[in-house]
Amino acid sequence: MRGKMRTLALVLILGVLCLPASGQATDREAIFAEANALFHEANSALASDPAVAGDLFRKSLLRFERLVAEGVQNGQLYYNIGNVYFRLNDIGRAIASYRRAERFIPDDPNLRQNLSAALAKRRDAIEERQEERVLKTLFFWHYDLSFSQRAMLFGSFYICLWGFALIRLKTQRPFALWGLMVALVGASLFLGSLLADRFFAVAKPQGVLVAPEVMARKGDGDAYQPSFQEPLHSGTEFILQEDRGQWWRIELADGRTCWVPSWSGERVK
Amino acid sequence: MWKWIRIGDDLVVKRVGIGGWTPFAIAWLCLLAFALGGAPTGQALAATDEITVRAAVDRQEVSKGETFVFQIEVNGHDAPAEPDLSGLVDFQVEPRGGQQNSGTSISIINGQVSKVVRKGYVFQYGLTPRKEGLLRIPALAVKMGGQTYETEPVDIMVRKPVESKDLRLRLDLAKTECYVGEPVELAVTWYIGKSIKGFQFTLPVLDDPVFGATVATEELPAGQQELAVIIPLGRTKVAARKDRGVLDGQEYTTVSFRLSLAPRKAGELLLPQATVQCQALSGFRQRGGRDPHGMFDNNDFFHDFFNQGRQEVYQTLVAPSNQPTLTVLPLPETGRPAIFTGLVGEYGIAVQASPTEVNVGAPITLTIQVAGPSAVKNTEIPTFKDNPLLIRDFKIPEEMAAGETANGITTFTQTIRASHAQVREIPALELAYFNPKSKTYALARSQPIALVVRPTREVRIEDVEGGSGSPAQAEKKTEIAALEGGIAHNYEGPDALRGQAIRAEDWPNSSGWLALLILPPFCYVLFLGGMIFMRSRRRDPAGQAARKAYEEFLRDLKVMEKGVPEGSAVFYARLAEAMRAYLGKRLHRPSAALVYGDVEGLLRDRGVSRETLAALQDLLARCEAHCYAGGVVGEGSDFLAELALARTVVADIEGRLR
Repeated sequence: MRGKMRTLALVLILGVLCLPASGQATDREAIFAEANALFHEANSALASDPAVAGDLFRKSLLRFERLVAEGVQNGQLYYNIGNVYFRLNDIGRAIASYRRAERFIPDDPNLRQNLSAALAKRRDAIEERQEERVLKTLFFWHYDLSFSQRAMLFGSFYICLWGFALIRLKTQRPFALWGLMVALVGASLFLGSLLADRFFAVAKPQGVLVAPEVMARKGDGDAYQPSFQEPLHSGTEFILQEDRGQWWRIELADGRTCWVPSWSGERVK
Repeated sequence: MWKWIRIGDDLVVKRVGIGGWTPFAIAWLCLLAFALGGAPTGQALAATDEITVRAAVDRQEVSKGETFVFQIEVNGHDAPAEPDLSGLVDFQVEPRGGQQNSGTSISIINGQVSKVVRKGYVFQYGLTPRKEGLLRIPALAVKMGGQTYETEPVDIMVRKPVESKDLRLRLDLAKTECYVGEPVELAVTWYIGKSIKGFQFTLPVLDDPVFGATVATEELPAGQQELAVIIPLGRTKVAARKDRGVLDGQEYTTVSFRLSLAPRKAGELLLPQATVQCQALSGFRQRGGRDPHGMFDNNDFFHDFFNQGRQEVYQTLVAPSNQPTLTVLPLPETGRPAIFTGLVGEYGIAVQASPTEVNVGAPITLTIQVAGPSAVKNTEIPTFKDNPLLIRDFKIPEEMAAGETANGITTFTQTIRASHAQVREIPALELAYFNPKSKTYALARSQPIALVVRPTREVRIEDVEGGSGSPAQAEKKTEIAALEGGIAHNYEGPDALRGQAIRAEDWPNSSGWLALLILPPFCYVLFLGGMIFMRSRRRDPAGQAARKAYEEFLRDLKVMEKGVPEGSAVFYARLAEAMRAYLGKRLHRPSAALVYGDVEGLLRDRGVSRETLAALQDLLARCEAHCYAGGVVGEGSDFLAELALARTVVADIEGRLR
């Protein structure tokens, strides 16, 4: 009798808690549908009236960003936001949104395609460091395989490792030892790769310049000399090294560092 | 709820809740349900706002060209539709987004729980008045919940902006007289004589279709990029140049950029007044309330040190421009070509075609380049329908895509197809324009392009079926090459609204990963433990035999119970054998010739009772008697009783030996 009463009370409370959640979900679906409808309309108007299309894209963007502001953290949503910015020719914010989406859906083929398209439209050509290229050659499995592929390979090697360890208990044949060693090496390599993903995601915050043009400087103020002959442009990616409120010290892909005003960039995280 | 409970010999009263839950717990659960969910009974206690809509401004007196904040506040609903702003004709509107303004508060007074849910949304805009005088922001409609609500109108007094000697704005026309459609450069120069931060230009000439104004792009030479300032102008932006300049004998910092005008109607056109609004440094004030002993804790210590404890004060200033007049002359009617589309200036046209050897119906790409003083739209070059030779000899699409302009040349691309094999050339294309220098109309003409058009090969049935392997068949095969660039579709399914974990960062925290990492080694450890256990048992066969002895004894007795006795001698021999086997294995003695005397001492040392030893001795003696002395079991012999006795004795011994 006691158990039944407790169960009934729990069911009532859970049912009540679900009521506002379901109402909130319907609102979000409506806003999401509206945003996509505006995006479609804007696409249709793009060829004939770019100004109207731009307004429609901006309205669509407001709705998508509202969903994010309400707490929806989803890779596909960030991907859609990136598409709107791409259409608005705001390459910097498009890349930032695609990078945010990449944190959730790193293996999505559409995301990879769109990110490539956005990266191709960047104005600044910054070659990556020689060391980076060497690392990419040496650790090709980390850079060439997707997160899911590496995770699956690690899982496979890991299970094989323990399987061969079990076989070694029963037999001393060489194949068991070799299998154990290969599985150990494979599991270590891919585990290291996955842990590196986690470490760099946290320790090295990424960012993207979103201002159309910004003059990078040698110090945290306009009085300092510019770092480069030409300004940096929207879409240039960086790693944030230091945050001094109004100014950021950033590292570009080629390892060079400079200072930019914090309003000119956005952090990916 | 109270309940009588017996504890020992006493009856006591104990307070219990419903279903075993105390009233305190139940009260908190109910409160939690009201607070978080809003139960049906809870809704009777909740208060919500009725829907109201209000318009608000941050000030009601501004200068022309000065931007002020305009808000539409919605109470009672948190998802209103975008307001209809089409009535704001006297203002330039800059949307600044919107945000929810909702919240929930709970109060408990005298045990009564009440919850107030407040829903709201705020739309924010920047409005810039286009003219002076008393302007009205009309009532604006906001739709929500299937109904339309209107705000109250708001009056704004717009003053005429006054020029100061520190901030001046000038519009300079490259020439004051031109023809309709003739490009005229308009230089916009802002003279700055004090420190400023934040600025916003308002250029009504960009919104006035009469002037046909566009932003002129200027590439600064290499090494001078730091002089560029990006200025947003409504939906577009311009790269302005920062420099020094002199106006009326005073030196200023200047910010300048250019627009290109192409007036669309004749007459004396007064350029609308432009304005620039900025925050200008007007002075300093002393910082107040600072503890002199706490200066090393003050974040502004260094700022105060250099500014001697003063804080900068900025005020909003609006600098109006002059209003030059542009005299626009109408284009003469005399001599106007039929194909004239309004181009004024000196223009040239060049056409290229590729390929020039084609089959009938095969596509030919035409690249048309038009050079002139300004960018040319696709509606301003003559359509192919104006050229009868082209229409006769070629199939031409209805529309042409917009051209791309670079370095004063606008390039268009069009695809045409030869209609018959007698076509020998693409005729010259003509472009009519009005030359303001000579004040006459002129024609620019491209060169004709020679073509070789082969007749289309007749397709036979065997070509269609693919049996002949003819060259035509081979030509039909084309590789589907992927086109780079462009983006893929949006995601529109419900999955886009689900909360997701960040895979690269959160994967170690997921239960799937934990299971993968823990299960295999766990299985390995289990298996290893089992193997070690088995191996240790195999190393001690005597011990293993001893552990199994009792089970084997019971099994033997069961077999004997089921089988038909073949005579007392056989029965007792088997019983004796079973008992000797048990005792031998259990006590690590050879069981074949085991007698009572061999085991008595061992059993007594292990704590077996005298009664059990006596019973064992009797039983073994009876077994020997029947086996060796030929004892005859009389009619009273009970096999089952003997077996039961043996079971009891051995069970007792086993109990002591464990």
